[in-house]
Amino acid sequence: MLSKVLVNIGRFLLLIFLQGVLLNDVNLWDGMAIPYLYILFLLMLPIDIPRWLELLIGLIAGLSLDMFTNTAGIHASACVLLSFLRPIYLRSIAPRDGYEFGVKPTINDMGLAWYIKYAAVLIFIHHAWLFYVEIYSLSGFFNTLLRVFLSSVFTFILVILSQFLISKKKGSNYL
Amino acid sequence: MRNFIQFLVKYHIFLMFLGLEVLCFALIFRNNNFHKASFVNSSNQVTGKIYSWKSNITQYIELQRVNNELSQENEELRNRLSGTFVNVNDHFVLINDTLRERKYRYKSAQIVNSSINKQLNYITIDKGENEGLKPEMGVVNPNGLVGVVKDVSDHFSTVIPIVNLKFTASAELERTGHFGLLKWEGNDYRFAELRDVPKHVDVQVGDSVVTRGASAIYPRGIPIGRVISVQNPDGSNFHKIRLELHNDFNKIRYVYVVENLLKPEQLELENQTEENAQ
Repeated sequence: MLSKVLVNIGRFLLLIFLQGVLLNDVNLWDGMAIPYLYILFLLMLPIDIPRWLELLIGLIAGLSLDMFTNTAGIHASACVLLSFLRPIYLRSIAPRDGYEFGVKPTINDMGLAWYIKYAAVLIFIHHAWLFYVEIYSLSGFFNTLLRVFLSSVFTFILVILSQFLISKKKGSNYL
Repeated sequence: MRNFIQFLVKYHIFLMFLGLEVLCFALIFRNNNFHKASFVNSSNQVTGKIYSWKSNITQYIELQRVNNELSQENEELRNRLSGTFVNVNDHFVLINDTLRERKYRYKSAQIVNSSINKQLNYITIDKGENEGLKPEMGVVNPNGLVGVVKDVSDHFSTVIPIVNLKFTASAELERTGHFGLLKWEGNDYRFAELRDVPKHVDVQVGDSVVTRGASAIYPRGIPIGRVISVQNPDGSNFHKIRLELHNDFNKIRYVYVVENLLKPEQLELENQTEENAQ
């Protein structure tokens, strides 16, 4: 239990730092596609985590990133939304007999097809909320939609790659 | 009462979600108020520190270009030194000139972090309250206008650059003297818009746009950009003017923060006039 908590804290620090220092500066086509890999942390939280705790963790993760980007509240609201919707979505895409005890939402445990379904939808929701709240208007609706779409694809590719990168060993506990 | 408690218990997660979202939006709107200090920004100690480490590493890469820029500026300033001029008329002796009073003071600062790819871009600089910076000071560099100081902490400040949807400034066309509102249109950090210039004004492609100095933040005549297209949309009394910014926000390293020493006096007078008018 304790090691699980420590691993999650370590992952949190690493991903927020990586996002704040490196990934926020990465962009393709003049800011049309920005990767927000840090939400991988929220995607990798245990399936059976209490919902109130998940909401609080989402808030903290969002606020931490807001400190880097000077956007008080914007990332936080997107992360809180993600943390709220994730358990509901997890239930709706659960295998027929439900999740086995102690299973993790990773490619290793759940398979690639399930993971794509899981990550793509949640990433898209998070990015859509983030970009529309950031621009705070519906003018240029389609332009923003294109940014949402391209950034989601970018984040999604990084999430899948990092999954392959860090879960080579079957049953590895780290990251 | 019982039903109410049951309702709370049943929907407590959803209510908590709503509560947290309200909190987030309160933060967003509080931050929207120009210049209201908030604890979540990179002039805070932790992220400011991290960004200055990062900048310590990355600045070596740009050293060559920055050196060139600084030496060019030195050259220009040297050309203005009194030593480079000869006295044409020896009858006059320079005495302490009480006709001129210092109005602007410049302070150099280094950029430790900046972004260009968002809609709300910010710049963090390595000078703060300890060096005398205050919110609402102008920020310029040799190429022209950069932005305005937003929040300050002890050692860092955040700057709202032109390339932020919240940035506005009064700007004028240097040739005709007409002024308008400078706004960034989002998307591309190389271009901005000049709004509210009436249609009867003769605007030409290539006209240069400079600061107007109306808000007592920037000196007058700091270059901003060059007009690259003028449109006359139907149903509007104003031109649609697009500018190419002089500053390339992707590679600024050093800036000057401008303090207007006469600003309190000007604001006090303006407030007094407004009060008397009511």
